[in-house]
Amino acid sequence: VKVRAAFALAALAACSSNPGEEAARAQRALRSTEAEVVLLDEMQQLGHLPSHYSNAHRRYLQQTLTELQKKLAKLR
Amino acid sequence: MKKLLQLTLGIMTALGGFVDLGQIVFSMQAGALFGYHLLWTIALGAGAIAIYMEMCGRIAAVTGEAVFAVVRDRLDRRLGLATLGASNLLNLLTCAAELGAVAIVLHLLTGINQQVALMGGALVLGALVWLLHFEWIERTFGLSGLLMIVFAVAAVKLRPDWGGVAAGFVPQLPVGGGDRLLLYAYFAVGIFSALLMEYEVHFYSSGAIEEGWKPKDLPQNTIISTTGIALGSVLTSALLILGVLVFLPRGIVPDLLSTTILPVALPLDPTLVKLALGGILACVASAAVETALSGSYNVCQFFNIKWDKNLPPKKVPQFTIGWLSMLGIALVVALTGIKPLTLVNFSIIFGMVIMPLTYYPILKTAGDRAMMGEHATKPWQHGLAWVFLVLIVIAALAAVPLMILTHSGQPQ
Repeated sequence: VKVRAAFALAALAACSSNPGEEAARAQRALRSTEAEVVLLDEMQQLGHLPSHYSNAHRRYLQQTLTELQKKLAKLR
Repeated sequence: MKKLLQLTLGIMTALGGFVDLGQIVFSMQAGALFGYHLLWTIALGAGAIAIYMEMCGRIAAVTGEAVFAVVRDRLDRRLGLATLGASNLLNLLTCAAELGAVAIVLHLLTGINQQVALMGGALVLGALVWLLHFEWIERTFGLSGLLMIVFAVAAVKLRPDWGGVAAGFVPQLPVGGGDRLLLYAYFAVGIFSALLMEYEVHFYSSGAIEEGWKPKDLPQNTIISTTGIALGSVLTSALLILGVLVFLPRGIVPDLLSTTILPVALPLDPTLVKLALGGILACVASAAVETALSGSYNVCQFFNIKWDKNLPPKKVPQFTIGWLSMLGIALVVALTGIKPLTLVNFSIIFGMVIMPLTYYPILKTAGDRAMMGEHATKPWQHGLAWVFLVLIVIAALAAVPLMILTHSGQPQ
């Protein structure tokens, strides 16, 4: 039973991964991160964010953007 | 006052247990993707954990036995050992993820280097557990976790559609089929699982024994478990509501712990944002402590080794080495740089897979008249516990295929 279950899961993994879908996921994540940068800018302009937080979060977002752009370039 | 402070066991268990790193991000993502439609999973999970947590506390008070002594006695030896190994592996992964989250929050709060924050954070947590008696551990983390109320305040200030919130507690399928339905099912299973993470019952039942509960404390058990879970559920719902109000209209799917602070900043000032960060810090630190201690409690209970957090560490050497090792290995894992959210997502999904093996022995023992006498589970509660166990088994079977099919919940 365990071996059959492992095969079924492996088959599922093989069926569910294709480059087109992966690119769509990365594109969606990129749009989401870009929208978050806009929100962060708005919050910062309103003066609602502590400075350490906004600096660190901006760095995390930049890092994520770079990773996603690299991933998309590879998939294309 | 003392009675009020006793509630901190339930609060710490619930906040560290199900308002941890995974649940904070998961709930906001669920709100950002499906609006209020997944609120019912919080109510369902809260109902399930309320029933089982009460049973654990009752077993501990009546028989003086904690969860892993029950697992040892109820399951076949090999299956019991496998459950112990799998549970402690999950505790270790979760502990590593929560330590990583502690470092991220310290970095966000102070700007201190993240690796330094990670080592410093682990050292401080280790020192606190070493120095404090059990009741002070639960008071420190339980009370500081109350800072999370800031999230509920922010959710109310942003004026959600209360009709939509109420409708969200009725199970319903999302619009759109295929991939969206799978994603919905993944988040439903994920939220349900995160609310029922095994270490909550490991920690709660061990805590009941640390506090020396007896049958006369049973009313207190019901109050403590219910209060903690009610608070945890309100906060988890507030996180999901914030996801709906702030992220859904902007097309943002939060994928970072730091993102979860932004909704608080919208209606509140920077001081309250810092308090919200403090609340998250308390919850993730609490989860790290709970998982490290639970790992050691489990081994000691399974092999009948002396354990007691209220004794000096040298008097219970194996127990002390156990939790210190959990914390130390988790620190090494976190130092490798694996993303805490990746780790915690795995532990939530694989935690679901082994969940029936933890909850079934609890159900059987709590209902056993020979062991529990007049305190055995009432028929209505026993029936309800079976219904939840069936749901747990269904979710356990679906968890891994859903994780594969949705690429760990990544929308297209």
